[in-house]
Amino acid sequence: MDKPLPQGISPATFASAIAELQVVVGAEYVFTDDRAHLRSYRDAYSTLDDSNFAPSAAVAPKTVEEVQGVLAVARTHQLPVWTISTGKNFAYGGPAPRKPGYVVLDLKRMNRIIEVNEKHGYAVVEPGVSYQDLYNYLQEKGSKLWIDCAAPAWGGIVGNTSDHGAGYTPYGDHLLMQCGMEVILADGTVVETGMGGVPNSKTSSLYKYGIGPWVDGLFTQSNFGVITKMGIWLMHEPPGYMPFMVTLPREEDLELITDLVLPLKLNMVIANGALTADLLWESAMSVTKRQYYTGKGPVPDSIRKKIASDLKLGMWNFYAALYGPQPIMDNNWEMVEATLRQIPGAKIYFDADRKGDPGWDYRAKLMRGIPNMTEFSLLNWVGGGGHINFSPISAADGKDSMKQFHMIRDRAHEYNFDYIGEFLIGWRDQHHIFMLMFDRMSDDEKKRAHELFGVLINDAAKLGYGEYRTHLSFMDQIADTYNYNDRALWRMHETLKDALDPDGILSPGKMGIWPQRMRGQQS
Amino acid sequence: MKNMLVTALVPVVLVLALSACEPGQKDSAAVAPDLATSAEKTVDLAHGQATYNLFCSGCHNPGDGHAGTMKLKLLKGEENSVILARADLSADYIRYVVRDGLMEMAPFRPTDINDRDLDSLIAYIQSESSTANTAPNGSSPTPSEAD
Repeated sequence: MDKPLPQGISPATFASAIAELQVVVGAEYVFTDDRAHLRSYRDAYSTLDDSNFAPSAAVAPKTVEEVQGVLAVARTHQLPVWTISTGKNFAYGGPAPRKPGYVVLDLKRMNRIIEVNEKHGYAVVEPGVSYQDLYNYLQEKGSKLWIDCAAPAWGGIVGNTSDHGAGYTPYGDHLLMQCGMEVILADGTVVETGMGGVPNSKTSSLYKYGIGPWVDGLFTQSNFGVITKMGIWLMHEPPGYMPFMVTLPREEDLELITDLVLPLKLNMVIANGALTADLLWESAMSVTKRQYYTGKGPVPDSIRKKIASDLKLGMWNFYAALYGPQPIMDNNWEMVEATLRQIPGAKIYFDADRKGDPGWDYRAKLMRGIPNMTEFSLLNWVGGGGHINFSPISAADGKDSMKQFHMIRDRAHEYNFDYIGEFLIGWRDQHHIFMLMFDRMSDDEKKRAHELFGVLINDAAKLGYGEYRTHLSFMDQIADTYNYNDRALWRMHETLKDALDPDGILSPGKMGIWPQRMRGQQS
Repeated sequence: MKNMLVTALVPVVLVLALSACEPGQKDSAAVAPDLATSAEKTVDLAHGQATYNLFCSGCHNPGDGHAGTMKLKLLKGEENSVILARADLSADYIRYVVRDGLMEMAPFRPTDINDRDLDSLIAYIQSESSTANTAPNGSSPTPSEAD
């Protein structure tokens, strides 16, 4: 396969740039050999051929100074660099760049846990630190701090937080729990945000806002700088933890559970990232589709009922937890139970009831911040591993839940795919995650999945829904749905982009934000 | 009995400080050597085990809740579902799958598992499987026999 080159870069210029990058980080950390190393930077699960996202090289700096050196080379040659941290943002593109030929700026080697503060409950980490890394460290040290992790343990704290990821403990809104950043701008300037702007500050990880504009959010889901350090708040281990699960027998129960849970969430009786997952999501932790159904298209209702009965699952399955001293949990449980008992046929389960059920075990771990990889069992559902997440935001409102569920399920069935989804309840919203699973060895399934995704974006936009995160392939299309007042929001992003990165070297096209020199050229 | 020679386990993540209470305290002296730049090139079973634990065990350990084990059990039967008990995995095959991925499994980048880590990982997997399986059963699958 011919190596793709960055847009507008000649082979001779590219060779010069690579030689300069080798001087900056050492030849060992500039990867150009497709067979030996570079193929591992592709998106393993895309709906498109992976050549659409094949990098020309990857460079892995270890220090801030090396990142500055890499950016200097990029500026000299107008070389587009695509920043990743742990590179596990699968379903959204993984480590792959937006366009073929970009050079991946791989920050995995920046893997220091710089500080953990037990008393104040925070850590300061570099981008290469995964949830599993931080968890292992805290366990090793006997710390009483919990992390809040993404479902797959190998996710990165900086990467997940800066892509607006969510978790399942009371600290599940990751960006809300972020405090202070070190950012390198395209010109090499190192910026400390918030209180970090005060030399020798002791509060850079304690108070988010400093004085003046709070800018941390500008460096998330964007391409305005390279985050090289981040503070993240960690929860003190509570004196008690009581996870529970409720199985709901009918599809329409989604409306009732959503409306019943909202007041409990708003009052923080249920404080954690609670969620309602559909039957197939939970089933996939234990069984595969083929064990129940070998026909084409979505699983028929009769089979769904059989799966639910065999696995003691509902059409929807609600998970949440209580935290705190026993008397508080007892008191709160009375309120929660009285609420949940209003749902006809709902069954309540605790740890002793479901221990050994992989679906329960991994949820119970996640709601107390124990990283694991069980959710990857979803990839076994149809086999072949392809998956891409369609992630619209919904109000935490029963009617909205049903509307989005029907919108996505009906389209998924029209395109012969299962609906596999969950609603993760935030403070007042829900992240609705539709896991579109397909066999990545089947060109037909990939084509249908790609088309379905594009249709869903348009369907959602017509109903006033927008997505909170997306795959490389659909960043432009989704950006175009945030088009109020002639794209005023994205035009503002472009103004910032041009001011902060006039050479247009940083992650061109991230979330539909293109530098001036490439604007309007994307297909 | 496995031959656990070589150096002490080097943590993959480097930690500067666990400060007790004073915010902002750092200890820049506590920096461990970078794995990838270490002069030590010997295959290291303990390091291979650490690499396995960090990157492989979540999907490939025995028991329910492990996606890789679940898949292999369906495809190849219970007896071939745990990679640490497989005697038919050649070094080339493991190297190929780690770098290229396979079906549900994503590839691992050289910044996750560098070439030296990979040598140690292969040695560890093969060491474990030879312990678990005293009668190796012939040739390794080729990459085209994708699991």
